Amino acid sequence: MAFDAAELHGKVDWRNGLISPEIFIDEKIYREELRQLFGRAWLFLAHDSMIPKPGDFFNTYMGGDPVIVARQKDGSVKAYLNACRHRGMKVCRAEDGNARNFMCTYHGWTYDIAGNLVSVPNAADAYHGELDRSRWGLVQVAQIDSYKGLIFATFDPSAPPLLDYLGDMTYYIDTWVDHVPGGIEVLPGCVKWTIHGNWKIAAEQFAGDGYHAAVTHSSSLGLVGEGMWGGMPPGGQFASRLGHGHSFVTGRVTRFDDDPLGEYNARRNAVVEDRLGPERSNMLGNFTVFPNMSGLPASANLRVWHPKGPNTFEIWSFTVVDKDAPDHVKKAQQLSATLTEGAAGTVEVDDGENWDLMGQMLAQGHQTRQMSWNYQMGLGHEVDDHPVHPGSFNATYYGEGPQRTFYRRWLEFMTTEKWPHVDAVRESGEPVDAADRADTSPAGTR
Amino acid sequence: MTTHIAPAPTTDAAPPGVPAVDVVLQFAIEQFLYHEAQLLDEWKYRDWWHLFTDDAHYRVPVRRNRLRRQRFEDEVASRGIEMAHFDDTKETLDLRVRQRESGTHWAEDPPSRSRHVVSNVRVRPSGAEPGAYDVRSAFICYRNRLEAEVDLWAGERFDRLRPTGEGSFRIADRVVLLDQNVVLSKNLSIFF
Ligand code: FES
Ligand SMILES: [Fe+2]
Repeated sequence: MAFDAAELHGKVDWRNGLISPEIFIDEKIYREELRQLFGRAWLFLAHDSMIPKPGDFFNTYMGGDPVIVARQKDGSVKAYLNACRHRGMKVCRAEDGNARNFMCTYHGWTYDIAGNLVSVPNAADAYHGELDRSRWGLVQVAQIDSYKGLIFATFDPSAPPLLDYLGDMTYYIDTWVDHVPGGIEVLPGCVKWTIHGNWKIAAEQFAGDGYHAAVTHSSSLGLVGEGMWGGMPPGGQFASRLGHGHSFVTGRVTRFDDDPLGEYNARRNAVVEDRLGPERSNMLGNFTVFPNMSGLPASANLRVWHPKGPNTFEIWSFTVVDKDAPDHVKKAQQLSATLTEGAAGTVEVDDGENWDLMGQMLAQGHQTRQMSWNYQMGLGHEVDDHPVHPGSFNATYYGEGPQRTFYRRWLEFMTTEKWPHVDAVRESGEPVDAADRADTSPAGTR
Repeated sequence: MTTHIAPAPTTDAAPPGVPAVDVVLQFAIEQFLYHEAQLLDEWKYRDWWHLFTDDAHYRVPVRRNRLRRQRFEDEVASRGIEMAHFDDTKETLDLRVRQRESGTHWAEDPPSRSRHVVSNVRVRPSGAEPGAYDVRSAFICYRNRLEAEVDLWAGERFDRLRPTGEGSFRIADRVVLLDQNVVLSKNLSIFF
């Protein structure tokens, strides 16, 4: 049965804050998401510090597809599908490491670190010297670029430049990756675990859902952040027309006052203020770079929500530290991050409980799929001309503006064939006209 | 960042037929480990916490899929600045136990049913700490949660057990090697 994009307009009523949970469980929608969204959006791959030397590689995913990101001899970075051009076997099964080349373990086709096919067994006799190796390198991403050490790629040659894609989000990302002169580095050890639920539930939470913390995390925040949460803490929310979101409280706190981080952060704040100005020196929040990269600077946490099916995703969780911080501060940050975030993190374990159970209910039920979910918090209270903060801005820490914008952008990706410009969904919420839909994207043709 | 936890397999195993310690001690240590498993499976987390020494270190490193030639070098992380699932002192273990006692820890409320099965217990006098014992054991842990959620974890533990003088032991150090790279469950809200 063909996928009907127009139907999605009835499922995602972002203007009124009503969303059908079918978009979190329907198999056809999911397959289309891999093509239309993950096949075109700029996706986070890795941070520079994870692959410092030539030959260093990190194995990740873009949507459902395995991708190797590798440092080249000249210091540049390439990314290509981890799929042999002969029969599609994975050419590298290690999650990271250093390599000169990747030999496919099926028939032995071998690729160099740039993805070029450099050797084919029996090229002379079996192939009669007729195989043009230059045409059978690993499939490269269409575009790759980085923002202050964060490496992104897209499979769509028509995608706008990364900086345009990120838009105003860079203003907020900078509070975390460019707040001190040396920038950040990622600690070794990626924590990976599995949630039986839909990746968007997690991505939308990091875009805007400060609302859940007081209840979901009452057992952990009550223990380690006493006094941090009473009523709604002062803060704000940024919703990008491009789908990104950021919620923050003002008042930089560490989860532990008596560890070296407290003292370090106090000294660092002056540097941050000097570098970014007073408005951003105290920002502490959570964000999502559309679609599936998120961050939680309070816990030094950077993560990707890798889809593994409509009702399964993996969380890949990294910890970042200030590159120039002394080792005892980095160690303190690592201990704090380990205690709070990750599969066994005192804060995080309670998120898994929610997401997984929601996934189970959608998988089993019929009536529970018919309810509209309510995304109406703060509807109409955003301003687009805030004197300080760019984007659509909500002056309270709780609100669902970032989620509404996230799904608005998601809908645009899902219902347009050309690269979805921000005006692709009419204000009425009706489908874009046939001329746009008839246009075929160059994505997918190689 | 160079103190590696997991030795290459078998280097510290006594050869077959040559017991490293006498059977009474072996028996006592096995009973201690079974007792510990029972405390966890009966949700007696505070009692469990008391089994650790004040200077205890409890660690569950992240397992990594590495090329074979790089495997023993760093398939299991060092004790450096590296992420882990758990990296706890007695103080932070106390925090985790208090979280379970809070009544608002939804990941374990209602509590999971678990069954820790401990086996393959090998005991040697500790080379690093006179009077203590280095104990390796294998475990399988089954978790059943809410209506129909099932998780199964397996792994190996490297313990440093310190005798109490009253015929029992305290755990001074524990490293748990979980036999999963991507953890296949929604969280690790229980202890190993
Ligand atoms: S599938 Fe890779 S060589 Fe055949
Ligand atoms: Fe949360």
